[in-house]
Amino acid sequence: MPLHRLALILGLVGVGFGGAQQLLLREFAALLYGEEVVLLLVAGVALAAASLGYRLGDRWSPRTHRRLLLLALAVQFAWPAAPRWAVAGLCALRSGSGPELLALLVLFALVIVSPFAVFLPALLTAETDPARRLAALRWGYGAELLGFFVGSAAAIALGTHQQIHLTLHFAALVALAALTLGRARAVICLAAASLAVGYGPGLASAGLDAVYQHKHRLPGAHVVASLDSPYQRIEVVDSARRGRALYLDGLRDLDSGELDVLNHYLGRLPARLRRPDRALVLGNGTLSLVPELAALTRELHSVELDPVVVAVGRTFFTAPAALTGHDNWQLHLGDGKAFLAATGLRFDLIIVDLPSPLTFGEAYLHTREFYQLCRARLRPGGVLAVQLSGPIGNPARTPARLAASLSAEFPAVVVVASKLADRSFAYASDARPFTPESIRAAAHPQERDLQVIHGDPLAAAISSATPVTLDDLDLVLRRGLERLLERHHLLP
Amino acid sequence: MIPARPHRLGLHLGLLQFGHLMALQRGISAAALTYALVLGAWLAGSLAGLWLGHLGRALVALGLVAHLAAHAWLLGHDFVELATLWFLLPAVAVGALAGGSWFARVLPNEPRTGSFLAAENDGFLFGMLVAVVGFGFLGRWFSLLAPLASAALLLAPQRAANNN
Repeated sequence: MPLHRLALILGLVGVGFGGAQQLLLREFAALLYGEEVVLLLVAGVALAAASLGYRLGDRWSPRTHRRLLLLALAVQFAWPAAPRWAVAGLCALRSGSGPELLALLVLFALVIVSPFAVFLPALLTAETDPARRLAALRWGYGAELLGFFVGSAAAIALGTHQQIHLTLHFAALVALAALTLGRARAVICLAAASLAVGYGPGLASAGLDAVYQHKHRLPGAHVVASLDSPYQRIEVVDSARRGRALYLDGLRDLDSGELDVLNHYLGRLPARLRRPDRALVLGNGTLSLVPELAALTRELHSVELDPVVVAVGRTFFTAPAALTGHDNWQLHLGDGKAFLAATGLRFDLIIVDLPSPLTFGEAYLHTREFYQLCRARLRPGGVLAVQLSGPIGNPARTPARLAASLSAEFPAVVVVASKLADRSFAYASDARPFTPESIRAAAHPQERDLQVIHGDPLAAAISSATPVTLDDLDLVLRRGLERLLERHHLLP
Repeated sequence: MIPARPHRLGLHLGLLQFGHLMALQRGISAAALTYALVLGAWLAGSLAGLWLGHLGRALVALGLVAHLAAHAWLLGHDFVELATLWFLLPAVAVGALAGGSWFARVLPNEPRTGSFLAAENDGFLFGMLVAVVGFGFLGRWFSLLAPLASAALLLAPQRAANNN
């Protein structure tokens, strides 16, 4: 085969390969819920499917390869409706999720990834002369690497324009079909791709509603927005049970009913008691803390990594009118730890409003080292406010370990356990930040039972909890694995 | 003649790539830009390595030195500014040179290229898992030192009739 044709085919294979891996990763991270362990599982299954394809490249006849490539293209043209309806259907049958969902991941990975991996070994082995094979490797494999980067980068960059991305991805697949499957099959693929572009979005959207109704068990749930940022899938879901809720990679981040309580203990209470001159909020992509905190401080800074979460927050959770007129507020888009490492500013109040540490990216912002950095950026008497994700109990679980991390870096830590919020919050400082009486007096008006834990009782509660550090992030993998096995009924 | 050792090659490359990725996301930023730049630098290094098939062993050593230098520097800095990514990215690319070089040396004479690529990919998958689990449980020192062990496995003298 001429080198330029080989490079063109393998370049398109690379685009399809990279795009298919990203489609699989994004969809199944959201369907199986995006803890680090799930991301690792999906990436691992995709790599294993590629290995199978490489092995079969030496064994499959061209006819078998063509048939399986057609199947792979057909399944991708049905993306993302096919996996969504499959997951929703299985969950409806069982009235919940089970191990069959993991088998479904393996099946989809084999179907959409393996046939792409067959091309390279098949085309290389066809060249029997070592010099020609080396040239084929350099130009063909080089083109595949470039195509893989283009396919992956396009999937990441066009996440908020899913239809444009799928249209471009399908165009690359049709071009590959034209080069490798013949004119008749390419025309069939073109027709299928056109149908997918026309009818796919409606089917995919209905499939997503079905996933929330049957997998998340939210009767009547309707997904009002679903966007892929470069970091995660962001979904806004309306349901009778939860009202309006925000989901990040399938994990519920918050709902409109609990937002006020969370904001009260995380931001409103410490801001009212401390009256900061300059405050910093890390996270809080919904921006729901901004209007109130801007009124309680002279200067307010927000740092959020994901611009799509901010856009969703402005559209669905915090009315744009509530965010206007705050000349003392600055929004910084970026990583919280990089911002703190670089800034010369010092703060009276730092609020860490982040999800539980279920990925490494989140866990870095819950480590001793990060709390040490926060302390270095506080003015004398400044307070760090952190959400601990749940009540302090089991020393091996997140709340106790985060409290242990804070206690290892700050001389004074006060933990507030709210029955209303069904979780704990911590306030840390160089000296006791607030008295228990002032905290109780500032409790949420609907609070039923507020426990304030500090001093010896807190030390006793976290005595056997190990702080989370940059060199001890086992919590991310342990909790992620426990949750994955629990959800799929794989624990004895 | 250098042995093919696809599993060991994949293990070494998996440890290097994911070691770099996790170290940079930890020290600098979890931003998507970090992932895209690491992936781009890695693929560029692999691509360049395809023209350097005669330098297989030397490139493994060079990649290891670059890895040790980058990780040693990051060990001393918990969190740093985004701009430092630019002088760490070359270390990522240099680490990937060995992969392309190894392929260029082995694959032209390999009767079953699919089996070699599959074995290398299996090793890479194992390296990815080991890199992530090792970092999670043992921390930054694991990321620093694990590629030393995998490089030693890759470059160890071959025993008779044992190609992997």
